Amino acid sequence: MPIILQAYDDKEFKVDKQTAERSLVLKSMIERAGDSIAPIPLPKLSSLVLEKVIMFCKHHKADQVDKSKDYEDILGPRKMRNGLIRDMDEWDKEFIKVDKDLLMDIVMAANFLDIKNLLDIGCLAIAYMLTGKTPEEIRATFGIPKDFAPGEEERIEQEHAWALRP
Amino acid sequence: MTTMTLLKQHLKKTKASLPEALSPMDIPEILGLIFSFLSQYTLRRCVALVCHQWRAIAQPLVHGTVIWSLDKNSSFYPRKQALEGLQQAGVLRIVDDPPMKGWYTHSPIKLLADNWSVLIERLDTVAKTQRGLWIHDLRLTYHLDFDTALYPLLTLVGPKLTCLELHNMRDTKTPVETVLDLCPRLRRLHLHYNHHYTTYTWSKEQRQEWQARQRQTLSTRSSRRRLYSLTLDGDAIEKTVLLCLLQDLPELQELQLIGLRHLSKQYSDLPAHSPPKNDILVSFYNSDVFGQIAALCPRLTSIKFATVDHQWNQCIALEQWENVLAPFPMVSHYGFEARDLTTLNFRCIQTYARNTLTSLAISETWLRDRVGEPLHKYLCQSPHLLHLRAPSVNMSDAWFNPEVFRDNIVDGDQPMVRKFWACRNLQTLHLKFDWERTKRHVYSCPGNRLLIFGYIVRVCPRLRDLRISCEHIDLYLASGFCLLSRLQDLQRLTIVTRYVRDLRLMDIEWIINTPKTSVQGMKGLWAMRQVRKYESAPERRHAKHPQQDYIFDGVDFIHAGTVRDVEDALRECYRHSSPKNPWICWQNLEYFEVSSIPKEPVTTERKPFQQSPTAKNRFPFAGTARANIAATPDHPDGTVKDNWASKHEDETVLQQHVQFFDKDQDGIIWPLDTYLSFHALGFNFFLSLFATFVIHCGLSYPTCPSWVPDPFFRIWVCRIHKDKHGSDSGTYDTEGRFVPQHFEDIFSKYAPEGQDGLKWSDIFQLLKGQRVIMDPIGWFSALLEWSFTYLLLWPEDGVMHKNDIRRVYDGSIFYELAEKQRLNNAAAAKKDH
Repeated sequence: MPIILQAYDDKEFKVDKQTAERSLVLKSMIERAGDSIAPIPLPKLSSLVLEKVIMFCKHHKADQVDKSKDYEDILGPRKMRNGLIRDMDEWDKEFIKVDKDLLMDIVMAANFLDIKNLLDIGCLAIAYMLTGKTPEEIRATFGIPKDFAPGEEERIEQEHAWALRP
Repeated sequence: MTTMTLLKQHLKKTKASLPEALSPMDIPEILGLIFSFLSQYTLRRCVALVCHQWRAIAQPLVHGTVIWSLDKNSSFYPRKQALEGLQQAGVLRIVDDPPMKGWYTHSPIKLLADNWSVLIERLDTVAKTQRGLWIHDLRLTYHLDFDTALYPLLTLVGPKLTCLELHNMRDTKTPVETVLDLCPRLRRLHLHYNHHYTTYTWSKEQRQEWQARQRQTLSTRSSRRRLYSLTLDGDAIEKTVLLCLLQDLPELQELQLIGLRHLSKQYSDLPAHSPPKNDILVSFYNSDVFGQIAALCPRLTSIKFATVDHQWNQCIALEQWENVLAPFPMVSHYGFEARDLTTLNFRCIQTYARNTLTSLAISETWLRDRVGEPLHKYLCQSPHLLHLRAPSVNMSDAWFNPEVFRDNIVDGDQPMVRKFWACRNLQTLHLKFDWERTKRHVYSCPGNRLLIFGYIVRVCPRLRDLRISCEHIDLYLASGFCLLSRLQDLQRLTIVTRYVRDLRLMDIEWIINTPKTSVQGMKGLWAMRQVRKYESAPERRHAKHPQQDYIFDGVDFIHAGTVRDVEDALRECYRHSSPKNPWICWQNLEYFEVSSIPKEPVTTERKPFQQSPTAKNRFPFAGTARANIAATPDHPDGTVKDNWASKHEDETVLQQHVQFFDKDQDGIIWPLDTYLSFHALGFNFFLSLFATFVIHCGLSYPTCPSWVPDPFFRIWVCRIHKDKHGSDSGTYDTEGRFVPQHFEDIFSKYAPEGQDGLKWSDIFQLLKGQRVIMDPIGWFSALLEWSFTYLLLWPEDGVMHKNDIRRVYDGSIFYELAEKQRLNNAAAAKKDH
């Protein structure tokens, strides 16, 4: 039985159950509603984003286990990152090559719908955007106001001076 | 219907007008996740400086490495800075300086109890703060007593520890079980026992106590361990203890057992109460152990077994390797010690893990040189390999030459053997290249480097972690190193080279940031260097063959190892750069290190001649001087041709050497004799005169029978041994005898391995190496002697053969060469007529 997802701009998407269940939120909704499920409105997502998300879920619907948690446990966050990169296939890499605004929306959607894999990949892409930028550039890119008192910045820099081994 | 759409539109409007908290950057959880992907460097230098919120989120993720060095002389006292660092530390290392390596440890450092308590107190106070201790990785390369030092440390640090390494433990009493109890979250455990001080001398009581202790902890164990990786590096690993331990580790995925020992003769002397049975220890000869290990740990994906048992010239037999590898068919990572490896092992690996093996590690020990070739062959046949870590295995540049591939195809008379690597998806590569070892004196020649860089870039374009170790690498833009910039995915790059002190910052500036000027300057710079440095010989060869000859297995080797290759790489950089988006070399690079090889001591560079103790025709008493025959292991009877040795039984080898110059055999060499002899050997007028002049001026007086110098500068053969000079190879001893050991030393020290003789360049190394101080006469004489020998033998291939040199020593070759020269002259004279 197909499940109908309704985006913010009324566009409807038909997906099969297995695809929808990649999202833990939708999964619990489907389980509660049983067979007679009405179209699910997702007013926070635009059709563009929802399309992307469904694309991802379709591609990954056959995936068995969610391994990322395991990595973190075993190897710590740093190593987990490498583990994740290893797991990311070419398709994922192509998938996540989008502009900044869409990427932000996808991450938000992944967070909202609770799709762990998509959230990881999205965050990884954002992390790539962060590397190699100076604090000013980061602030400018993401529109974050600078809230340090004068001199505080230098103090923080000093704080890590003992361990400046990249 | 219309009302519904209207309602929806209305809803939409109200939603849209809601204040948007829609950036993921505003949600702390997502920020935390994003930060967990960032490197420590970015966290510290960028993220913490963005705003307060970011800083607060990044703070727990930041952890540093605190390293304490223990110095033998200075007392062990934690520095203030390091103590402050503890608050942020994620990794704590207590190492001694210089790091202890294997068996060659120095005497133990005295650990002062006061200093240790300073550390413990500090850790205690940090643990009580709000943030608490964050150390999750602890490494001690220093032996600590378990009860007094290690236990308090582990009680503090243990609960959060995920990785623990203990090195140089001097007793086996450190109870593994207690350690595991103290650190419930431990995932990785590395224990290295060093039995250099306390050898295997346990009394029966001690052994029983140890076993009882083990059993007790085993029975009281409540929870199952979550250990993920276990390394036991020790002298002898008991089978029962190991199997008991493994029983509780169902999640174990990595197992390394280093130092497996077969109970050999050394241990059969044990007292009667420690039963000298072979199956008490885990060893290669105890084959059923591995099956049991495989049964106990079904999730094992990575193994390493290494032995300390055999001598350097013995190898583990193939059957034993089969015993070891066969129980683990699904393992994807093997580790080896270089000394355990032979060609056979690689064949064995291929049979047992052809499709599953993705990772191979060969660790650093002696005998790494001989692993190079089989490893190369293995790489040529294993397309599945992803990670190769063999940081000290030598690879010769000769194997990477595309000319060789091409010739192989063109020849066609034998089935094509794959000569290039099949592992196209390699992600980790740690290797050592020895273009210096094969071509010791041409290290400014860039061709070999270009060849290897070009090869790596083409065959393994997906490398993420690259470590190259070799004697000499230039890092400036035009040196060929920039070929590596084609590796798009590179994350870690480590260069280990000897001549690191020559490195200037401007040479690697292009890596760190490529300002516009450098991109623009590339062409000019390149053009300059090209004219100055490189030959264009390889290009000409390329021109002969059409392009398709250089595509092997889908890899385009065109221009590999030539100047054109660098030019193309630079052009690529140039094309990709624009004023707005400057070209960035290695976008994902996180770690870049250039370090220097610790200088190898001269004793390892120049090894003395040593016979294999098990060789069949062992040459006896190589160190003893032979009075009248120039005997070597290859020619134990000296020169047998024309019965030279038996004819000259009553002369020392040195007298035999000069005997040729004594034309009338009266025991006195006149200058005219020398001149004529040299001339007979084919030297021209000037060289012969020069030789005569030098020899008789310098060597006449020491052999004179009286105090008065001889007016005719004659040389007396019976006292020729007084003419021995310094800075020589030592082959003649002071009495004119022949020392086989010293003769063989010449070749083992100065000739490259596998070369039967000396090249001209080797002679220079020899002269340089054998010099002693303040000995101009010796230096000069040695130079002249070797030069004349080289001129005399004048080998076609540039290698003076060992036997020819030996026959120069006993003089037997002079007659032959003189005869040859005479015939030549006669033939030339005939022609003229």
